[in-house]
Amino acid sequence: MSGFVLDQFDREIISLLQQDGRMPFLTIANELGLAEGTVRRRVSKLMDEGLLKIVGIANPFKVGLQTVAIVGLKVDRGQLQPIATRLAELTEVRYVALSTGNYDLVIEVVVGSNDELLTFLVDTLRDIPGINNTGTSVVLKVAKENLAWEA
Amino acid sequence: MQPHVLDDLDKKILAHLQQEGRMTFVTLAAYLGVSEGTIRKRVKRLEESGVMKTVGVTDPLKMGLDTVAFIWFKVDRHYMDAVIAALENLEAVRYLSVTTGGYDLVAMVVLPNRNELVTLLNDQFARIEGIISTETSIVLQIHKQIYDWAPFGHYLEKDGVQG
Repeated sequence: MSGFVLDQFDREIISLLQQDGRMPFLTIANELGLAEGTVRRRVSKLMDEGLLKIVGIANPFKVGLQTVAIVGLKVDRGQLQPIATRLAELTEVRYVALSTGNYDLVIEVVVGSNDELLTFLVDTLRDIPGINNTGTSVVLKVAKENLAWEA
Repeated sequence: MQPHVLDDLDKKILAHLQQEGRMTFVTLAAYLGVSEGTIRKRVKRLEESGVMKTVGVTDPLKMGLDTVAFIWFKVDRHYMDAVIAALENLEAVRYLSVTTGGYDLVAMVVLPNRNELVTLLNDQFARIEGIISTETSIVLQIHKQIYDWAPFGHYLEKDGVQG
C-alpha cells in the first residue's frame, strides 16, 4: 500500500462526495473554503491512489435482479487465495472478503432469480475445487445500506 | 415488489454512470445521441425512483478504519422489528439485511479498531433485547468490491465507447 496520508480536507471532500457523488467541485470548494482547482486536484489524486471511486449504484431489486445472497465459505487452507481469485472473477459475485471466524470467505452474490442462485451454489461453486462448506443467507430485505465509510 | 421498468436508454445511462459516476450529461448525451435535457430528466427519474444513486465509495480498510466484520444474528421473532430498528441506529452498522437461512439478520460493521468491536458486541448488542446469538467474521482483506453488478455492461459496447 502507498504511504498516502489523508488530511482533513481530503476526508471532508470524501464525506461530501459520499452523500452526492455528482456534487459540483465548485460547491465543495465553497463549502470547505478551498479553490475549485484544489478540490479537482485532490479528487483526482484520491481516485488515482485508489482511495475513492465515484460510481452510479443501481438498486439490484429495482433492476430485475431479484435474488441477493450472502454466502460464507469454508475452504481448504492452501486454496484460500486461488479460490478468492476465482470467485472475484465471477460477474454475479460483487463482494469477496477474506475473514476470520466461522467462514474463511464471505461473498455477496447478486442474480436474477432463486433458480439462478441454485445454479450458482450447485454448479458454479462445485466447479471450484477446495470449497468444503457453505452457509447461504438469502437477503429478503435490505434494512440499511450506508456506503459512507468515514474514518 | 414491482421492478422499475427500464428501457434501453435508461440501461445505457446506468452502464456509463456505473463506470464513471461523474460523467457530464453533455458527454453522456453525445455518446448516446440524445439531448442533454433528456439525459438530465432520465437521471433525475432514476434517482427519484430509487433505481440509482451516485456516490463516492472508499475501501474502509484504506481509510484508517481497521475493523470490518460480518455479523450474523439469530433473533427472537417477537422482537424482530425492534432489533432491526436498534441495529439501524448504530453508526457502526453500515449494512443490514433481513435474511433466510441459519440466521435472521446479517450486518456489516465498520469500526476504527478491534477494541470498539469488542464494545459493540459486549455492550451495545447486549443492550438490545431479542438478540439470541451472534456469529462474527472479521474481514482480513477485501478481495473484490464492485458496484456495477447490474448486467448493463453490454450496453457500453453497442455505442462504440472508447477506452
